Amino acid sequence: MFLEKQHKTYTSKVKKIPLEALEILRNGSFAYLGTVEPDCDPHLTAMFFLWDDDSKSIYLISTKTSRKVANIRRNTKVCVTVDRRDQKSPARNSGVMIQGRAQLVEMQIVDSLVMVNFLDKYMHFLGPGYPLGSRIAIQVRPGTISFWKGAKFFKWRNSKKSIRAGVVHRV
Amino acid sequence: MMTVNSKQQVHNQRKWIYEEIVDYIPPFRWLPPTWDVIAQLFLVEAVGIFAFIYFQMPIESAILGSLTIMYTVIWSAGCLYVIPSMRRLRDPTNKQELRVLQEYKEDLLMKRRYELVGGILCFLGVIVYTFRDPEFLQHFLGPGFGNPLLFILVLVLAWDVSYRLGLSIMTTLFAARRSIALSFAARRRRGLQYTAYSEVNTLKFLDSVNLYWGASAVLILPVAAQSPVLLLGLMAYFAFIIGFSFLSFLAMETVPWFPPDVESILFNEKFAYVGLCSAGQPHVTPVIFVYDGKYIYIGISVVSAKYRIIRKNPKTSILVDMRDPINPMRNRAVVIRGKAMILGEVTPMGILRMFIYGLWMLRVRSLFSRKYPRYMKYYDTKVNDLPLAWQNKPFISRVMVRIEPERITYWREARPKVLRV
Repeated sequence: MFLEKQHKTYTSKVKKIPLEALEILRNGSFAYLGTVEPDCDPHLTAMFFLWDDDSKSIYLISTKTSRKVANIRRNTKVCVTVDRRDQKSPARNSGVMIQGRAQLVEMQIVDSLVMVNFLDKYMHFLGPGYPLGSRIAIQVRPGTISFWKGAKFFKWRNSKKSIRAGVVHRV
Repeated sequence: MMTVNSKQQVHNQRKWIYEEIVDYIPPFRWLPPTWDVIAQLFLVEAVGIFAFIYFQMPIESAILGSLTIMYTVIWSAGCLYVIPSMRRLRDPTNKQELRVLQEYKEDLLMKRRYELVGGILCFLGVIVYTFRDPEFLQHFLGPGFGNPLLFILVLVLAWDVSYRLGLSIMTTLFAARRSIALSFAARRRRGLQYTAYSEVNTLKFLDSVNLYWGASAVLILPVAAQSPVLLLGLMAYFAFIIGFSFLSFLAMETVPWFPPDVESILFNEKFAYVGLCSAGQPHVTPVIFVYDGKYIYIGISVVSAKYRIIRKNPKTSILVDMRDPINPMRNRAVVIRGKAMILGEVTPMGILRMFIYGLWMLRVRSLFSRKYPRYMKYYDTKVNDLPLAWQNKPFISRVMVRIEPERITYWREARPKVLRV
C-alpha cells in the first residue's frame, strides 16, 4: 500500500573474498569481538587483531582468565567486525563482519610468523613489557564474511563445510 | 538470615527497636522473618480477641482493632524485608555523594532519638486527645472501660501505631533530604565518580517502600474516622508522606546515571557497535546512536539482520569507544548491556508503544539530526538514489531501538588510571 519500490537488499554472493574486504582486514587496527554468554547473551570487546592470509583466519590475543576466553570455551561461535568509519557520509562507511568458529591456541604453539607479524603491527604501542605468559591466542576461522560499502553488501561463504558445521580441526 | 547478620555485625550496627525486639525476644528470635511477622500477628490478635470476649466489647471495636493490628503487621513485614537491603548499599565513589548516603544511613539506623521523636510526638498527641475526650475510647471499649489491664493493652496498641507512623514520617523526611542532597552532589561529579545506578535504583525502590509504609496507614483510617481530630491528623500525615515522597522522586530523577567520563563518551562519540545473539551465534555491526541521559537509541533498517534478531532476542550489548589518535593503548571504551525495545514498528504492540513513547521518539529523532547533521542531510538529498531499505523513512524502512542499560563496563586499555581532574 505504502510501498512503491520493493525492499531490496543489495547483498550479492561472491566466490572470493573481496579485495577491499581483505584490505580492511589487513590495515584495520581494531576488531570488535562478539562472544556469547550462557542464555544467548552477547558480550562485546574491542581488541587488537591480525589477519593471517595464509590460514585465512584472524588472530586475537587475550588473557587466559578473561570473559571472552571463558565464553569461547563454552561456545566457539564468534563474530569479529572490523570497519572503516566516515564522519561525513554513510555511503563511505565500509566494514567487514566475520562470523565463524574460534579456537584457543596456547602461546607456545602459535605459528611464530603470525606472532612476529602481530607484535610488528602493534609494536609501537605494546611496549617492551608485554607479558605473554598469561596470554592465549584466539584463532577465528571464518564461516561467512560479510562486507559492506555504502549500501552495497557482499557475502562470502567458506567452502569448507566443516567450519560452518562447527567441526574445528584441533592442531 | 537476620540473626546471622546481627551476630556478625552487632558491634558496628544498631538496629531499629522493632528489629532488636525481633532479634532478642524468645518466640521471635528462633523464627525466620516471615514467621516473625505471622507470629506477631497471631500473638497480638489472640490477646485482642481474648480481651474482646472477656470485656464484652462491641463487635465494631474488634474489627477496628484487628485493622490496627494488621497495620502494625504489614509495616513490620516491610521493615524486615527492606532494611537489610539498605544495609547492603554499596558506596558511591564520589566523596560528596558518599557523605550524603552515609549521613542518611546514620540518621536512619544509628540515631535512636530520631527514630523515637516522631513516634513520641504522635503518641503524646493521641494520649492527650483521649484524655480530653474519653468518649471516643469509651465507645470502643464498652463495659471494660476503666480496667487497668485493658488500658495497658490500648496503650501498647496506641504506642505501636504511633511508633510506626512516627518512623514513617522520619524515613520520608530523611529520604527527601537525601534525594535532594544526592542530586545536588551528583551534578558536581568529576571523572569517573558516580553512584552505581543500581544503587540509585535501590534507593528509588526504598522510597517506593516508604510510600507503601505510609500508605499502609490507610488501614487505620476507619479507626480515625470515628473522630474528626484524629482523622485530620491522619490526613495531615498522608499529605506529608505523599508530598515528600514526590519531592524525593523528582530529585532522584535528576541524578545522572553514569559518571561524567562515560557520559562524555556517550554524548560525543559517533559510532557504536551493537552485539546481538541469535541461536548461539553472535552478530556485531556498527551503528549510529544517540544517548538521551538514560537510554541509548539506535536507528536500524527493517530489513537488517539486527531487526530480525532483536525481535527474537532483545539481549543487547553496545560498545562505544573513544580512539586516541596517537596511542591506541590509551583508548577508552564503554560497554553497555541491556534489553532492547523496538519503537516505531507497524504492529499492534508497536502502535501501542508509539502512543506511549510518541513524544519521546520525536525528541530522539531531533537528537539524531543534531548529532549527525551530515548523515541526515545525505539521507534527505539522496533519497531517490537509495534502496528503500536504506532510506530514512520512519515506520516504513526504519525503526528505532531503545536500549535500557543494565550493566555497564568502562575501561581504559592497558591499566586503569586515577582520574583526578
